[in-house]
Amino acid sequence: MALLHTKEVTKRFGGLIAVNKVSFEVEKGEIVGVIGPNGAGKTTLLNLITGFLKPDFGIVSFDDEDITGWKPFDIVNRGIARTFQIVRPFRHLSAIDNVMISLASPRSKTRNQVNSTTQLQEVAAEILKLVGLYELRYESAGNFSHGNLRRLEIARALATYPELLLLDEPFSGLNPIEIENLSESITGLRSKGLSLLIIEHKLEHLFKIVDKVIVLHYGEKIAEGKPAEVVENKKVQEVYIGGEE
Amino acid sequence: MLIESVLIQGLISGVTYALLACGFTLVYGVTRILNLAHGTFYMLGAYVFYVLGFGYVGLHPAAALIVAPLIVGLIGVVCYILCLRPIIDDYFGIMVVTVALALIFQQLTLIAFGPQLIPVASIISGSLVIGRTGVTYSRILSLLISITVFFGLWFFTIKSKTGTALRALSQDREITMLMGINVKKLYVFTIFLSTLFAALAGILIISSVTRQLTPTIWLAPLSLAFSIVVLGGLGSIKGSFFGGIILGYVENIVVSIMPGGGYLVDLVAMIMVMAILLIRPAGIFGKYVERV
Amino acid sequence: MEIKFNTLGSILKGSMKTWLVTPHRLLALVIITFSFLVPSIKLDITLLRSITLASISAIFAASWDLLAGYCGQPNFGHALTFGLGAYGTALLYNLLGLSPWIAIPVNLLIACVISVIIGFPFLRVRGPYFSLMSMVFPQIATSIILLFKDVTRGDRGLPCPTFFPFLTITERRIAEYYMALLFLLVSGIIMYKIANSLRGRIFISILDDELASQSCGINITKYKMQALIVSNCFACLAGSLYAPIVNLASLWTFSLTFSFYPVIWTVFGGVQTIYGAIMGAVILETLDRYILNVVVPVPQEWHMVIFSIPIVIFIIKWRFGLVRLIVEKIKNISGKTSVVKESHGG
Repeated sequence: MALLHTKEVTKRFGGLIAVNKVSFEVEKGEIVGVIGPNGAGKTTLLNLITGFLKPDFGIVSFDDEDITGWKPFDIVNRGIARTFQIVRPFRHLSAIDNVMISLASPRSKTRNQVNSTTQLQEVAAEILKLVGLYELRYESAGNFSHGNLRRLEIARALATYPELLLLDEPFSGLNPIEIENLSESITGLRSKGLSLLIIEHKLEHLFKIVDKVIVLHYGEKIAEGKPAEVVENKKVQEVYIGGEE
Repeated sequence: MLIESVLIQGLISGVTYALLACGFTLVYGVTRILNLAHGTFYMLGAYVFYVLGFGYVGLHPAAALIVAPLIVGLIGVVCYILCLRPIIDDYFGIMVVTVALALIFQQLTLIAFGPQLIPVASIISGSLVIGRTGVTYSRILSLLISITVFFGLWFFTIKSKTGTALRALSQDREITMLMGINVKKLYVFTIFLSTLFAALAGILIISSVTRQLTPTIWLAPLSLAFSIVVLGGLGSIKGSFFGGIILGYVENIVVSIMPGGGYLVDLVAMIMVMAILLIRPAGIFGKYVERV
Repeated sequence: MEIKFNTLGSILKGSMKTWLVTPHRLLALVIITFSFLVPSIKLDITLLRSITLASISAIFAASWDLLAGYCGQPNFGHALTFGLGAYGTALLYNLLGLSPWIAIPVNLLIACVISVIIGFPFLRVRGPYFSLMSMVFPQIATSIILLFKDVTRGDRGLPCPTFFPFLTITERRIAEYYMALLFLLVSGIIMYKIANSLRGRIFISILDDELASQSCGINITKYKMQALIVSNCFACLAGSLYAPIVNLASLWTFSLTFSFYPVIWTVFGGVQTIYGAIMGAVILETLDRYILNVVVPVPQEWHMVIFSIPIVIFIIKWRFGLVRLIVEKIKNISGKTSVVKESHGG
């Protein structure tokens, strides 16, 4: 049984169809990539899954439950966490406080079983260790570098104890070494039981870690399969290499 | 009260309140500035009109009607450049500064003119009889001017290049900026128009309906304007127009039917606002507003 | 009620010694002790009265900061619940003969109900609707007061009995002074604790980025509502203290000008600090009531102008707030490198 299942999910903005009857699944323990040219509807799809946008048609179901149209925080508490394409830190708070916000969510509270603020801080510190921000935990997020902000986003998402983690262009703005480290962390997370859906443009790095890839173009799913298969796909080649230019 | 009276007066005051609301919604739609000082320009328009037309300067009222809004429009632009433009991205600071400006202008007017109610003569005297009720020429003039301005604005935003740019800005600020349109100038222009409309509305309503001038005259109409804007849709000119007419009627009906109705208008308007936020937060013509 | 219990408990449990050692807290303790000793040093009734009213204004200001500076919902009609407290006490006495002491919890209850009624439609939607319409609520209250002018005496104001009918005038003023100071101390500590708790951090997350806060699993409407209720309750408390001390509930307490004063005080002192709002209110109110009225009399209409213009300049030039700037300087001297480290460590 699939962990995440979207069925003909559609979103229109006025006359423009941003996402057009996209159906796909993410199995438990899978890492799925979502690729496609700019404007293909990848982030919109992400927003539809996480409740930041309501689909005009179609169903999103998670763990056999219909979560279509749920409010974003309810979806987070159900077990889906996400990061944003352009980072959104809480600039007035320290790194550890940023993570504590997630720890204050109902889902985290039931999984933590800790009550005092000091204990929560310890949990937050542990999570920051995972992403390599332990040293900077008391620094204000407003002062962080771009790379560190990305790590903080992931820490915040992890602190909601998700079953499924959605990453929106996590490699953006990182150098190859940082991407290597992040890729390692991602596969590490999978071995801990997390499933992942990753939107990315840096195909070379993405293909190393995903089990399968979905290709979007003008809001439609034009291909799905293992990275090697998708690369051979004629339509995909047209879209990425040939085409209008 | 007479039905004709309510029907006609509701329309007249409604359209003129719509003009006031429209300026506010225009500024928010294009620049995302919540100009809480909008009502001040309503008041300043009336005071400048008074000073020019009936006070010390002695212009013909028709000339004052044209010059006063222009002067107040300039004041609005100056305020924007000095106080708002430096902090344009700080929505919190902008709200605080606009309220501060509103109170500063109010107090300065109070200091200059005193708190007493100043009677304001209408621009045209005399009245017309329609059915069983009388309508002053002054109110008819107010109606005509407001409708003309509204339709002028409407055509302007649809036909002209600048107008289209304004619509583009209100839909997607970032993309419009990337298209090489001179956003700075457009912002100044929008503020100028918005302030001008507020001043014009102030002159029209005070000279035809209220007939009295006092520094706090702007509070009640601004509340009504806010209600209109929420009902019609934040950022929608069409919404202001129809929202204004609806609330103009509501105001007239409440005042006519209920004892002490004058004191209940803002409560009724607020209940309507709360209802629309519960049912359809975007307002009648507004873009989709998310429920959080 | 749950909030207040937790914070009181943590004050008692926490180690008072380590809490006091830092210089800025030592300074706070000095100021507090000094203010309690003022009547013994100089018994100037007018000055005492100014500080009494300034203390009440400080509660009013701090409550604004909690909602606006921490949770990001600036309220331009904060006078609504202040006036509710004032008129509530006066009306409860005039209609039902209730003592102003009993009126306090009754007013607070009404403030909670009103907060929920207002909060529900306005806080649930994305957009500036709450701040936009906040100006209108006190005007509606004013209209209702004027509508029922037979009972409320309209714009003449409603007389309100004192808290201490059994004392002489001078004794009363001294009692009111200590009462206001005590209420300020307790209210300030409670609000400060809330602001610096995990809940306070959640408020800040809502201010910083509502979408990100939601993606952390936070129900932002619930927390905004909490902030609104607490903010309104303390403002209502301030109003409930105010009317019996000035013996009058007037429409001034519902005015837009009065709603804007806590904004001025908080911006002057420094937003998002609680203590900034308190000190800003105390300093500016004493300036307003004592120096601008008694020492160097300035016509009342000018007061708002004198305070507003610097605030506009403050916001455009730098948003830090004077008191906050000074406190940060002191903290830096004491060797704290990271401001943020202090505020959540404990």
